Amino acid sequence: MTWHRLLTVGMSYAALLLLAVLFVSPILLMVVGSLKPEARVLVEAGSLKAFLPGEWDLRNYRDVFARVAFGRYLFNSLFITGMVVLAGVVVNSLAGYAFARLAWRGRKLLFALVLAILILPLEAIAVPLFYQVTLFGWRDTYLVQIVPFVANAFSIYLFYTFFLGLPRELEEAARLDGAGMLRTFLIIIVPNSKPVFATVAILNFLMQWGVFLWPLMVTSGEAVRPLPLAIATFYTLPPLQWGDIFAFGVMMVLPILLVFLFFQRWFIRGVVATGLKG
Amino acid sequence: MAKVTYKQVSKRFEDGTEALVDFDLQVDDGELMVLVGPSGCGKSTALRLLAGLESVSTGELLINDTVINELTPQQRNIAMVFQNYALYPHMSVRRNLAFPLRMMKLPADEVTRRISWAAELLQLTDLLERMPKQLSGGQRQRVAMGRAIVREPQVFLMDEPLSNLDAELRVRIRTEIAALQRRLSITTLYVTHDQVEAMTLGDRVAVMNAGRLQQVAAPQVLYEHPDNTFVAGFIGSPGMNVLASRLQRRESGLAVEFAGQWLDVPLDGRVSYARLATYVDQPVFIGLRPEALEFASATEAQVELTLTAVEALGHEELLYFDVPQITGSHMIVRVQDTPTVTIGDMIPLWVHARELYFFDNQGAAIY
Repeated sequence: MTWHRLLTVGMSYAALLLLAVLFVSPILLMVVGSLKPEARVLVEAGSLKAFLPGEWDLRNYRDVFARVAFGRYLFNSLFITGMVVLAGVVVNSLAGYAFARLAWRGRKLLFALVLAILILPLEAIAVPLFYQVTLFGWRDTYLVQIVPFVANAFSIYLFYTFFLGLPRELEEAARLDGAGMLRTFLIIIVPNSKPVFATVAILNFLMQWGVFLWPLMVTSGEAVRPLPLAIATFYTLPPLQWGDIFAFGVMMVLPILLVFLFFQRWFIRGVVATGLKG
Repeated sequence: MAKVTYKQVSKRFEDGTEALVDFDLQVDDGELMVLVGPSGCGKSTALRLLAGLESVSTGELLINDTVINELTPQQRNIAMVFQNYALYPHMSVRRNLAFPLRMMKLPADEVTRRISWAAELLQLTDLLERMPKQLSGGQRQRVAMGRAIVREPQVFLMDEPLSNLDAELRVRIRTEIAALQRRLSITTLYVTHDQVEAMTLGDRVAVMNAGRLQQVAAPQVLYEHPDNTFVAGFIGSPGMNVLASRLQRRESGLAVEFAGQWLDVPLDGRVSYARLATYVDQPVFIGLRPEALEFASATEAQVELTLTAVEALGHEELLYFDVPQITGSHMIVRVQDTPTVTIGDMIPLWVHARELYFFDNQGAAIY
């Protein structure tokens, strides 16, 4: 290796390290802060001591459970996200399959519409959607937090591209063997599409887990309140205790980490298979 | 027992492509019919129409005397072997074989019986618990065959089933397929682009080009009596040399132009002298098999051609010649024992005029 090359590699590593520190430090601060007695959190915040735990102390975690119904919020978030993900893979995979493989009138037009919806953020349709669900009498329910997010243009698109890449002969062989359309989909297509199902499930889970604006608009009580909204209200609940908020934050991030670790193998294959850049 | 009939079948795709035009073909019960032609000639379309994977635009498809145009693939009771085998990747060999039987809702003991029958026939017994990705190409091919035969279908379709195999395996499995087909005597349509495969396998061979049937006949007949210039050039390896030419009446009789020379047309050639006489002074095409020319001494030679390339195949050599007067056309001659030749030499050649084929200016054979 030449000196010049060594220098280039060294510099790029230094830059990467700097970036890593930049991104990891807030998370580290949160985790370490959640384990400190409240009195030390603010005092040490201005120095590097903020990143040193000292003795471990789980009092902040107990505080969270004592001060709010954290278990309730966690269940709400898990239930809503779980339902959106589950119903989502069913609905969107079927839609993606129909766009990729079935011949029907209006397919191209409808697919163009689906692609157009891709660029619409929730914020753009939040107000009309709000009127609609109010009309249905759905406010303050699980339903209102699940149904609007089941059909997802991006998921449909991911399924569509993946199914396009499957060899068509597999389906033709199944047809000749006597399997109908739905059976072919369930027995032949789905088992060979695990990567895209995992990818869509994880992406939807991540998106849905952090949703804040919509529950803020359509829920008022605690019964169906999800975690992102709960942490925001927790923050305004006196007394303001940073250690407690950090603990809340840590517990909110854990499920995502678990889901990701569990599905990681398939997820990476899915990213490769769908041509989706990370 | 199944006889397959294509009656004036055409297929036009949505983008306007005419994949198949007025296609007429009858495949007899138990016959192995090979469809052969260059890529895009419509042979695979013909197969897919019969399987029910594509719909017929006009015309009728019959199995025995029943029109099957509107039947679903399953109702047609046809099995197909795909070029890439299309084995279900997530199922073991056993489950791949069982899949069509389970779809037929056969009782479990019948499923087991048929699987062991097919596995034994195709030497798959030791592979039944393997997954497709653990199999070699030849084994996958046999599993695909097995999945097709367990159903005991009326008709068996094979779409280039050997083209993903290496040359040696291709020859071996080719003979296995021929033997299996004879043993089961299931009516079979076999698609290939390889004319050697077609000639060695088929009871009869249907040669296709540009969506149209060119000729259907037994392999030897196609070779000896091609109906047109396309079949002449396609069948044989290498195929027949076909060149533009003219006929003249001379004092000695009919003469045909070849490479700037006039050759006498023998009375006892392949073609009726009287019929040929009606083409005098008209443009025609002549055909010469690569075996119909040979080296000659300078004195007895009828033509001299420039050698442009030599392909040595060991037991024989293929010599490529330029033909003067006709730009871009060349001529292939097959020889067994070669004198030393150098590329660029003028080589004296003798033409076996009795082996000459004649075609009219539309390319149809004159016999």
